[in-house]
Amino acid sequence: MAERAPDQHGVRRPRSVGQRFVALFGSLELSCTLLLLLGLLTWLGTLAQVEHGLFEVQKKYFESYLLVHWLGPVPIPLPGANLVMSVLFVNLVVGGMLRLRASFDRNLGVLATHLGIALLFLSGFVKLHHSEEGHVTLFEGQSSATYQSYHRWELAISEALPDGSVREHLVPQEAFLQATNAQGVRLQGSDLPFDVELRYFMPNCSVGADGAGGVMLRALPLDAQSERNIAGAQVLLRGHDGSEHAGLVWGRDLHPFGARVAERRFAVDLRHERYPMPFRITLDDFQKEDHPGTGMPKSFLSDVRVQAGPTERAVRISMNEPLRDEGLVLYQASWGPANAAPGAPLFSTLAVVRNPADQWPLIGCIVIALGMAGHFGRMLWRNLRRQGARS
Amino acid sequence: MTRRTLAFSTVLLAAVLTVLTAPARVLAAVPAPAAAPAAAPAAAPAATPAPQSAPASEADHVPSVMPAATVELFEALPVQDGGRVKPLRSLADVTLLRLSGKRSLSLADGSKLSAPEWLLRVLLHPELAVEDPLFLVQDDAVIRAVEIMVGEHRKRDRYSFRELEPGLSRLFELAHEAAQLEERERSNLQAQTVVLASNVNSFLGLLDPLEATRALALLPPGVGVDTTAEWLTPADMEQRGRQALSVDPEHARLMGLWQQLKRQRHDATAFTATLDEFQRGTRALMAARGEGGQVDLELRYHRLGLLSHALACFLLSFVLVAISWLRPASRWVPRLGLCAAALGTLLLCAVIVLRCVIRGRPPVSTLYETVLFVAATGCLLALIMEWMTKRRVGLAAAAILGSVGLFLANGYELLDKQDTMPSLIAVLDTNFWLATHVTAITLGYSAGMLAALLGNGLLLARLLRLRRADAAWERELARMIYGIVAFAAFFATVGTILGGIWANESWGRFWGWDPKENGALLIVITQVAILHARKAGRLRAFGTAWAAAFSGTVIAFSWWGVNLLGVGLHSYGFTSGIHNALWSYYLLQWGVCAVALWPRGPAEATPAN
Amino acid sequence: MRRAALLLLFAPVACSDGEQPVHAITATRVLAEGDPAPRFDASEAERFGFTRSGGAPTSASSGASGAQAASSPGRPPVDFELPEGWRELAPTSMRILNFAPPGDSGADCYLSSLPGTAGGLLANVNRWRGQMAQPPITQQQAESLPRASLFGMQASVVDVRGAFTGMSGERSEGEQRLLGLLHVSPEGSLFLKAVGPVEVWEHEADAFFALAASMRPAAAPAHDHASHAGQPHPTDEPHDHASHVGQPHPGDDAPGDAVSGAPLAWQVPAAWTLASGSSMSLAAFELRDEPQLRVTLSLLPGSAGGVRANLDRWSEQVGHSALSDADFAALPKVSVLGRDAFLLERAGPFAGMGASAQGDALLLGVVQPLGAQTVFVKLVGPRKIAQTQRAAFLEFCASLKAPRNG
Repeated sequence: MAERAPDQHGVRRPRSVGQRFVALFGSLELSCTLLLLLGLLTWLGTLAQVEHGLFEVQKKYFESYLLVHWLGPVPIPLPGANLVMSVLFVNLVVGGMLRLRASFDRNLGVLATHLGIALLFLSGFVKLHHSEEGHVTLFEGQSSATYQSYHRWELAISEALPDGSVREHLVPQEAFLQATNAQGVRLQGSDLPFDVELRYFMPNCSVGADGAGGVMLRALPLDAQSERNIAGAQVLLRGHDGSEHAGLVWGRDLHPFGARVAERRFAVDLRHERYPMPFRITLDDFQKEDHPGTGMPKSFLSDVRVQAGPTERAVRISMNEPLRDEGLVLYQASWGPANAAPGAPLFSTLAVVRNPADQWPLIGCIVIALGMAGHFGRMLWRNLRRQGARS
Repeated sequence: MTRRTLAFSTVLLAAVLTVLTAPARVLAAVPAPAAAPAAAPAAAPAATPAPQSAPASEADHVPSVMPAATVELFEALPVQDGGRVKPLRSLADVTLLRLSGKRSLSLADGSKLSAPEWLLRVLLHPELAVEDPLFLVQDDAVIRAVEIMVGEHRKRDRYSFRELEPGLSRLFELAHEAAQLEERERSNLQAQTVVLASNVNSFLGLLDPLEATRALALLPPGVGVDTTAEWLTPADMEQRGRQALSVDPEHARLMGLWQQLKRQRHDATAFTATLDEFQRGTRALMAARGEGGQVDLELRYHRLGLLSHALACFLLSFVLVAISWLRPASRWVPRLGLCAAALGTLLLCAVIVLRCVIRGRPPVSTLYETVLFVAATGCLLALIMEWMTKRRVGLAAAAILGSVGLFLANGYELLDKQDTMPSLIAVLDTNFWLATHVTAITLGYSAGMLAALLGNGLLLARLLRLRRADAAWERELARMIYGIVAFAAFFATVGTILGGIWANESWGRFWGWDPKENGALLIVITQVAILHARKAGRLRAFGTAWAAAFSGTVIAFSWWGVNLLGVGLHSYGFTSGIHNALWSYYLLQWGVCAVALWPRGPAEATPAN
Repeated sequence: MRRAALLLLFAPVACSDGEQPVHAITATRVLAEGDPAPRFDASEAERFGFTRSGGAPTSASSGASGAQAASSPGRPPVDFELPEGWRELAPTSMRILNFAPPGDSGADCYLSSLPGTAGGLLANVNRWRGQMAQPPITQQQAESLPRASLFGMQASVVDVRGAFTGMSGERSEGEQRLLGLLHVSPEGSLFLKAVGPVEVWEHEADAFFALAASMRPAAAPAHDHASHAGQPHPTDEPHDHASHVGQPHPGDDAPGDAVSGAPLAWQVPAAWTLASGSSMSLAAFELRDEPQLRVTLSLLPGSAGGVRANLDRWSEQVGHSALSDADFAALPKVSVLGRDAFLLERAGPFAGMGASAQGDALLLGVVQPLGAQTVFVKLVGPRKIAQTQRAAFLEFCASLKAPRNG
């Protein structure tokens, strides 16, 4: 057990703060503990998805620092995967790389492996904090220069300007997520001839007849699949001229709530948050090919045109073959409507992701594969030689 | 799901439209409860034929089985089904298995029909086939729910179409409602209603008159004439004729042959000759389209039955290994055992290679194939280990892995009741990622299961206080386990990361904490933890074996368990039988691990260290 | 990071004393050219899809694309006229066609089919009544239910109101109405059923019956006709001939198209009415007020097994054995399509599918090869009625003409 020597050495006689730090954060015991904790979290998080859905579980178990897991009525406090992985990252850097300096040549494979894993951690970190994702959904012939979030809502107040263009005033969801009661929140824009009072915000609701000729929102329990929730709220436009316009906004209405205030035309819409893209994308053709004689899709692909300024090019986006452009990646994600009659027009949904660490895992994987293959290959070779010598 | 079932409804509508006005009425020919000949009044204005003429008595004598040569010819007919061209044998096998839960059908008179024989009977003698006890009903609550009166039946029993017929409209309405629910939310009764309804639906498709069957796409479209990739059913041909579309002369000729078949059902020689001519014609069209190149190979694959031979080899090997434990002195017994295990592995590898050639795919693209691949590579690894160490441990492991693996494969096929060579959904249609990510992960499963098996070997040897299980033996075995865990960790890690890269390429995210991804991560974590703990000196021989044995349940969770959770992008279609098998394994394995931790005496005082 | 910044910027100025929080809107942008502008004047009904608004991107009007839809693969062989505002949904395993009336009320409407009588008219009517918490009716009442046209056939109408209880025991809110059409026949049954809030079916009942009446077997795709080689132009035919050219789909309004596609022409005897065509027949006829009598005209590719084999089969359908050589030779001959054809005439019990059958039926049948195809004409019905139509049948056979081949 020659490899254990530096470890035992370090544990026995820590001399400086640095060495103590290395001894504590670089220890294999810490690695094992953290790995087992991460395994436990992964397992609990997987089981919890059955009931709570991916989105909620991801926030609670995997993107958190601390959490409480309920085992029946018993609360169990646990570190979140984010915390565990951060410490594991330190452990990895300190233990897997610093400590192994001593026998660099013998441990080249191990070093490379740990380096690769560290790169994976880094790309995960970058993805968590610096990426945006959403989708753009188009019928054939439609085009868009924005994509929209799956989960986040925004309130958009559009105004028809005299020159025919439209200006939007945007309110992110943080402003109104808490406005669930009658008091609500007051939204003020310096440029608007009214204040908006948003009340009774419901994260998931449906629209129904109120029995008096109008419509009302009916709250629904939150769906485990977060993207299925449809938010809604009451809005009241209090004109500075004293007029009032009350209406409902709902995430899946066909048109926004319109009002005319001070001779200006406005439309208020609760919708998924939209992000601009550096280009405009037009869906020319969506093809869904089935295996012959079945309804099982063999391939789907979208032929799109990408316009950036004066230049325009045609691109085919298909399963496993995304479009990468200007830091955005567009994937063929899905299509619909699912209950469309055969032959009815279909839409294509392209997932849009901005992720600076897009290609890092590939590099990490290659480094890890080489590192592990080198290390285990060397061990196997040594073992075989030893065995050959013995027999 | 809805798209696939569309085919059913089309079949059903066609069946109804057909019987509404068709000139050919198969079921009309069903003798109305034995009264037909007697009730025929001599009222016809034209010549009245003698009731007991020769053709009639010939019709009374219905041969239930065609000669073997005819059946062989029949099962070789190429047919397009499930998106690919296959021999009719494959379709018949899966259909009968799905409807009856068995690979052969036992008739009331005690005779047994193979799947192709059964299909022939349905097509040629539907009036008999509707009386056969065909539809497996797991729980007669379904029968009560559709409110039909049937005679004496067991709780789990098979029903004939005739028995179910009066309850069909209720059955279909119930099934439609149940089908609205997500699979996970259906009660047992609802799930079975859906299954029974869809089985009856498939059978209805087969009940169409032979001349106009919609269930069998037997005619390849003509080259240059048709741009479609879809093969034509006899019903499609009839429709073309009805709509006065141009009909390829070759198609018209083949249809003529096909239409003759039913008339010739009492004359095996003529039937065979017509069938042969028909088959030559469709095969020529198929060849001209460059399709169906592997139809004969697939047929041979079914007829050879290599998997059962391989299973026999592994079982023999296991028996020989067991004998060698009782008689350690013998040299020939273990050698024979080694030969048997090697032969079994060879056959299993041949099966995998055959399947790769037939499908034009890397070895693993379905859950069924993971079982074959894990068994094959596990046996290969074990045999390599045996070659390196010559301790008979690897040999025993190969025999056990092979036998268990093939039992599982067979059980899975019986539970799943689907074609084991299906067409792949769009995202899986990529040989590059199947060959890299899936193969690597599956190798990880395979090595991990072998390590778990060896770990259990050490635990059991210690529990049973075997004489051979001395400290040196344990240390050597633990070293082997460690090596295999390292091997498994390599492939599991690389495979998992490759999976992430694939997900990034097709869905736009490297990692999504999806259950299948988490399962793979759990394997990596477990194995990496074992490697680090051993390096830290926390796991010695017993500890390594114990951890490896336990990690078997982690692999089982990732391989099978997450599919039962019913969420996420990776869920496959599934059945509850797997749930029971899986939990049996979990409990057994945890039991072994728990008992092994029980302090047993001074020698094994500190097991974890 | 961006979101965090936004959060800080826009965080509501929360007041601890329970005052209404205020949020300042600062982010604005002008819509790019090409982005669809919102509608500023949509009514509440339009916004929430309670009226027929074409604005929703998902509610593509299937009616307009009907022809295109009909030719797509996997589609059930049914043509129909979709009422205004209705949507056609994907079929399911048990439902051949699936519809949603306008609005978002959860009302639905579907067509399903079953072989045989599916338990009979009474059982099905009472099952539906049971779902609406209505007492069962008697056989007599069921038989005297009003009729309407479904798929070109007579169907019994069920129209009940009540509380709808599904199979799973779940009751729907509010008063519901069930509209159903049942065509129950030993030869196969069709059901068109609609359930939903009373208000919806108050509006849409007419559309429901119109939809039922418009259903017919799918026509051949138009382009196939056009590409058919050697097709005479419709104007090549004498006018009076063309006007009598048999057509499976009288409702088909594609000008000229179906006429040019018909391979056979014929004169319909005065007493007969066009019945539903089917996937298997070129045309079918019924006697007015006597749906049990049916004449079918089919054209199949190839020899379909040969003339004699088909006559044998028909013979067997009415309880006779296959024709002996002597029987065959003794068959009378009639002139069909310019050549002699054998006329089969047999009486006996006609066994339909399922339990019920015509005990005393008469079958008249003619088989005549036509080029590479074969023409079948067959009449089956209760003997007494069928005998009255024997002359009409022969007249019909004699009227057959093949514009293309002849």
